[in-house]
Amino acid sequence: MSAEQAAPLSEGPSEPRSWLARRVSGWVAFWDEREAPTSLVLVRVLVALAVLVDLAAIALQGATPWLWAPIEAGGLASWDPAAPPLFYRVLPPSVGSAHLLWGGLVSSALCLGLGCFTRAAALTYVFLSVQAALINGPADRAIDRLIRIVVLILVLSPAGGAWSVDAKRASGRFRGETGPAPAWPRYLILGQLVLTYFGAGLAKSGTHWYPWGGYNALYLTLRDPILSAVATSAPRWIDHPIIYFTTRVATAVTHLWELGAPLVLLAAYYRRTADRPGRVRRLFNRLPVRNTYVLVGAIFHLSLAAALRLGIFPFAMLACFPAFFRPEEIQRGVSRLRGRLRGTRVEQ
Amino acid sequence: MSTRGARARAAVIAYFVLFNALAALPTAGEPSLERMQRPFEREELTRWVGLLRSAGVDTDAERLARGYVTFSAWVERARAVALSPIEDFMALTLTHQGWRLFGTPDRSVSALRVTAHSATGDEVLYESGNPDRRWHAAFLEYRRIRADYNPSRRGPPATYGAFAKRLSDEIFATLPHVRAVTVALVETRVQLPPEVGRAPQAPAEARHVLEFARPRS
Repeated sequence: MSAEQAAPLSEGPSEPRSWLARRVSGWVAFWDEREAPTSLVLVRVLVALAVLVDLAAIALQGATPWLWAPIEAGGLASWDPAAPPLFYRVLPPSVGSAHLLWGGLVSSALCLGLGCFTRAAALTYVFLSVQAALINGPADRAIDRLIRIVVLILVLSPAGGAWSVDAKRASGRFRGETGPAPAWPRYLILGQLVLTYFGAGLAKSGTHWYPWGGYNALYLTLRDPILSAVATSAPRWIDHPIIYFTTRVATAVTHLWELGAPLVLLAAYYRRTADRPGRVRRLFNRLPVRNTYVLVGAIFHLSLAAALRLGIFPFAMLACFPAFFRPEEIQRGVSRLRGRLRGTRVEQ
Repeated sequence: MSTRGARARAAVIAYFVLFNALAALPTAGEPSLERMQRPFEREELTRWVGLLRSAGVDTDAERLARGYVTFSAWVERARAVALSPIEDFMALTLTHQGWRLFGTPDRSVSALRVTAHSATGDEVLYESGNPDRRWHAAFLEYRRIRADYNPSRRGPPATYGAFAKRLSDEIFATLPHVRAVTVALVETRVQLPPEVGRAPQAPAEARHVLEFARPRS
């Protein structure tokens, strides 16, 4: 074999290595990026607010003992006496303990929202939320799981470093230091949103979500008396042909919107690599893909909030939406809003 | 952060991203041949068979059901193996992925009906979706309480019995004239607008009926 023929062979193994090394260092650099914690602060405050509203509803309805007291004290749930939840191994199984659990959830969520011992508060909230779920499994809904995931990410994030009591203690200003901080927690929350919606889109196996099932999924959900906030007994305005048709269109849009979640990540990737060639890249960078996705999502969730009794679900999902935006975009939006408000005041 | 720290963080994130993405993939549930005989599953199978036949796939409901049960059992086993490295963390934090968000809406829907029986007759205190029967509606419709009675296709949750008992205790305590309480999940079949008037509406059926007499003091 000649040297000319041998050269490519000897270079062969090093090429994949360098490709892999490039990918690995790109991955490490990506998760090492930094940005102002503005988006994370917003997620922290809004998620805590949603949780507090939910806990306030429990108190207003007097539902705490029903949900979290042991069955012999008037609760609804029972568990294997040999393996009680940790909460009831430490505290006596009583109504008082159930109220203590509620108080702990409120305190930790409040501290999380205010950014007071943020990491400890977030961790405490997750621990108590897990205990609540272990005590009464059916009452722990998908949104509670999602909140736990997001709050766990916040535990490790700089979300408490600005606009918080922690910031006030550290820097003397409630606003704190809004300089660059790790960006990866925002990326993870954004990734979780994409995973949630895409996973939900893939999991829609019922034929009513598809053309061959008539796209009747939303209509059927709106006719569920336990879930629906619109009248389910006749005469029903949702039976009007135009409204019925609208629910079928909305079914298709909802499913496509969920399945389209990865497009947000693709759009972000194309934006970061805008200098590279490609027709699809150019098209993505010309279209407001992310903003359209967020707008449709906001309409979707607010419509759900109006039409179905889902509690905090739509609002807690929307509370995570700041993760879609880079901090400078949020700051620009806030500045624009302030400018408009000032303009209005000046005109007045 | 040092280069070593950044690498370690990137590795940990890669681990969690990979397994959470795997966990978020939909499962086929835990179907059995028995379960595939229920009306909802039969209807679903009929529609899927229609679609597959129109695409040139020769199959029928029985074969499709058997294939689906085999496939889903295989998926469940593969999933359990694939997720074993992260299962303990997810179990500890209860952060399992798996999002359905009304994945399989059903034409059979249920309403909670609470009836009080007294010397003057029977009175429906609360009925889901009925604007005239709203006793303690805000409480009964709160999302976490609702979850303690809202049935799935498998039936009501394990908390349903305790919920009904606790609710009857509450009624006896607040309405002294009530002698007995019936809690039931009333199932109806939704007619789509084009079907209204063409086919008779199937009668509502009370299921999971629980009756409670006022305890003797």
